Amino acid sequence: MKVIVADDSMLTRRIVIKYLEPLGHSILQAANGGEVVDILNTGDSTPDLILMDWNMPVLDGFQVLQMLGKDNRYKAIPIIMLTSESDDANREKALSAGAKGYITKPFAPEDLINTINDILNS
Amino acid sequence: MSTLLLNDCSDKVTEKLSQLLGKNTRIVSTPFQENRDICEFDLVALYSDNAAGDTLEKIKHLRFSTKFRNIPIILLQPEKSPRSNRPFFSSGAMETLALSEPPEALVQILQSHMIPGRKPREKEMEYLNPFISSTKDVFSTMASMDIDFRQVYFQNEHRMLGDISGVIGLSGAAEGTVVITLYWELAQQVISSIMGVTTEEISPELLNDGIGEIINMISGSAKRYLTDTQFYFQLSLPTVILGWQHEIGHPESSNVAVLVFDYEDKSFAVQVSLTPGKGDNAK
Repeated sequence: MKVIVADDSMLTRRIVIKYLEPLGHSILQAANGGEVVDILNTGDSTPDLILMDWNMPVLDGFQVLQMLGKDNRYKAIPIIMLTSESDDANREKALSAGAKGYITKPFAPEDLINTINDILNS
Repeated sequence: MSTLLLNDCSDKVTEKLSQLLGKNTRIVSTPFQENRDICEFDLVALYSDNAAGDTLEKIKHLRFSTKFRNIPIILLQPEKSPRSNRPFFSSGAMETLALSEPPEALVQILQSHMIPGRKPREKEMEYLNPFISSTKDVFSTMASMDIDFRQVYFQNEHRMLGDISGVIGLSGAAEGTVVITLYWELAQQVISSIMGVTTEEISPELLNDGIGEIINMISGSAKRYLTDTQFYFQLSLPTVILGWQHEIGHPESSNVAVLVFDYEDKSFAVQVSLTPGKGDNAK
């Protein structure tokens, strides 16, 4: 599967790569929300999944979530928020805006993998 | 009873201070030792009759050995020096004190530094406990490191030095700053443990980024516990400060709680400065 990992933290991107690449996923990295849009607009194929932080420069994760939800080209791509925004209000806000999953940091690798598998298999 | 560690003090100086401070102060006087455990002391003093570089190095070593505890370090000098004291302060000393000062002044200054720091009130623990829990959770979940919370104190004038700090600003109903400060060795150990690689494989860029992400996770995770309180806040993007034994300063009016954690024989600190919002604005 082709997965975009969008996080301004290199550490989190590397952690995600460490756990997902051995499972056969192909990872594209974005360091902010603007880069997610760039990857989508310039890429030659649509990703199967986007893992996205909330607080990022240029465009934050929630802005990207809203933008993609309104774009017919991309609104079918499942998005999982992977964020430090841990309170229930933000979780509900993201899920209402179309996020298919919501993982809070710190996260255990099995939570990440299970959430991804559940969404890709549904 | 207060405890005072004297480093490099002659018998004459030790005797003088012992007489001045009386029986209520337990004094241990030894030659300076680089890796001595000094956490049991209320105050640490170093005697030096010159401004040579090794004095600065000794102060830095003593500051490192305090393991972020609230232990002031005082430089004792025979006479008041015409030179600037700034290098000593930058190295971690709280004050320089000339032994030629009147005895009453010496006693007053030394005793003032041995007064224990203020402990948090119950209301203050309401917002500090979430940061204690979230710090332990981040280290445990991400790095498989079981850390111990050791103590909390309010900073006042304490000199907080470290090698790498992650800083995040908080805004919204409550406003403030949260800072994690570590020395290199532990910082490398944490990030290498998260990535499952050796410390040699951790690039400086990944180390910087990682410490920023850790303070982001600590603050974000604490936020959940503060929903519907006057301490609820919004996160900003973290920044990282690098530099061997840099000092983290805060505005004079801020109320800074220092949370000290230990991992095996190493320590780190999380400083929380959070001003609650007015009731009407609190979420």
